Amino acid sequence: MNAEHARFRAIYEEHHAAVCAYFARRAPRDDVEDLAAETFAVAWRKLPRRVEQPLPWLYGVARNVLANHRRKAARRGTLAPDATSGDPAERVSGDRGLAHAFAALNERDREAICLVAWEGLSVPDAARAAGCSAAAFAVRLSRARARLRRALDNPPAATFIVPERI
Amino acid sequence: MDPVLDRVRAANPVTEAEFAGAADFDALVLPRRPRRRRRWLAVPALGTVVAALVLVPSSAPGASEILRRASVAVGDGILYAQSTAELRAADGEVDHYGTRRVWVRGDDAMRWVDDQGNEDVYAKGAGTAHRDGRTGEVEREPDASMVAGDIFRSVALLQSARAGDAVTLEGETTVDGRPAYVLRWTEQRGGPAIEQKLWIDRETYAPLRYTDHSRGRDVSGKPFDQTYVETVQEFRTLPDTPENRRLLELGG
Repeated sequence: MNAEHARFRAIYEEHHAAVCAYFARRAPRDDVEDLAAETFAVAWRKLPRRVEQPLPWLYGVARNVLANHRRKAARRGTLAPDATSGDPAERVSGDRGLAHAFAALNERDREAICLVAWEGLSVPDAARAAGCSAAAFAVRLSRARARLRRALDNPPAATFIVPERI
Repeated sequence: MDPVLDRVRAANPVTEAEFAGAADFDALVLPRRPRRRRRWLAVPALGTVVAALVLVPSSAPGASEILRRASVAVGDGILYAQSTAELRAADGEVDHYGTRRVWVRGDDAMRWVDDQGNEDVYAKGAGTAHRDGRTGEVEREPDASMVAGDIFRSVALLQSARAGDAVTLEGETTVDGRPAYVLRWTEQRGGPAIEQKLWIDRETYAPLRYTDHSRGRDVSGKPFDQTYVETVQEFRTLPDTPENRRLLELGG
């Protein structure tokens, strides 16, 4: 095994779980392993020789892989919500209010919030993953957070008016 | 603390721990990674690079004469070199690329074998073929081409740049005890400038060492400062005979 191969193996072993979790939050569970494998295959070909923090870069690759996956699924007409795990927008476990507010956001806003809240990235790292500048991402995140807050403060009536028991 | 983000964090549907231990690198099917030398595949023709270097007015007659003698010394035929290469970062980290043996006949044919047994061949009109050293599998790319690597690119420079031109003689030194001339030139094609040097044996005029140094920012915006070093262990010109041409074929 040469140095490049060994270096890539170390990156893979360190970040495989994080990349799988990234996909599990956004795609059907059955597709997670395949999507992660595709991400690392792309990364193997394109990973810069020197990248100090590979994970944000890997998330950027994963974002493109996921977009391709969704396009292919849409062409096949299989973009229906996954029966086992539900629509990605609703995967905010145990918090129906948040699920509905989240669903009201557009994809870009959701992604900005998820990269920070779920992937745990800093603003500069999340910007790399999102493929934009840190300044642009900071604005995007701020607006997304404000929209989410408004959606949480003013939930759609149907969300909460159904009583638990009659 | 941001209560909105905290609420999202608390609702995280998946943790990394769920995938702990699921990594299986050996099961990962990795495509063939383009090697560094493929940087040159983007160049429409080797002659373009050479011409760019030789058309600039000469400022170093010493370099011109060295190049002229080297052109004569290398001669025609099939060029063969065994070399080692590594990439040195400014922080001291070194990536070793191992040893490779390369045969080149003009820009018509080329064969590359590394110390892992991986093999690439190119023939004009037939494209490239790659044989995986581990599995033995052969992958062909009829539309792909290869051009000679750095030390052979330098040889092409030697053969073509009779006037020296943009190449300057930096001085004289020794490489593994052999007296050598040091030639230097800079190349820039859209990206960061690449400062290149070639050490030429003062007696045989064969290439002894090649380096290029580049610095800038990578695709993630991180700064890099690195030097590629290729040291020639053996350099020969073989007669262009049918027997030697077989050295340019897969498994040759």
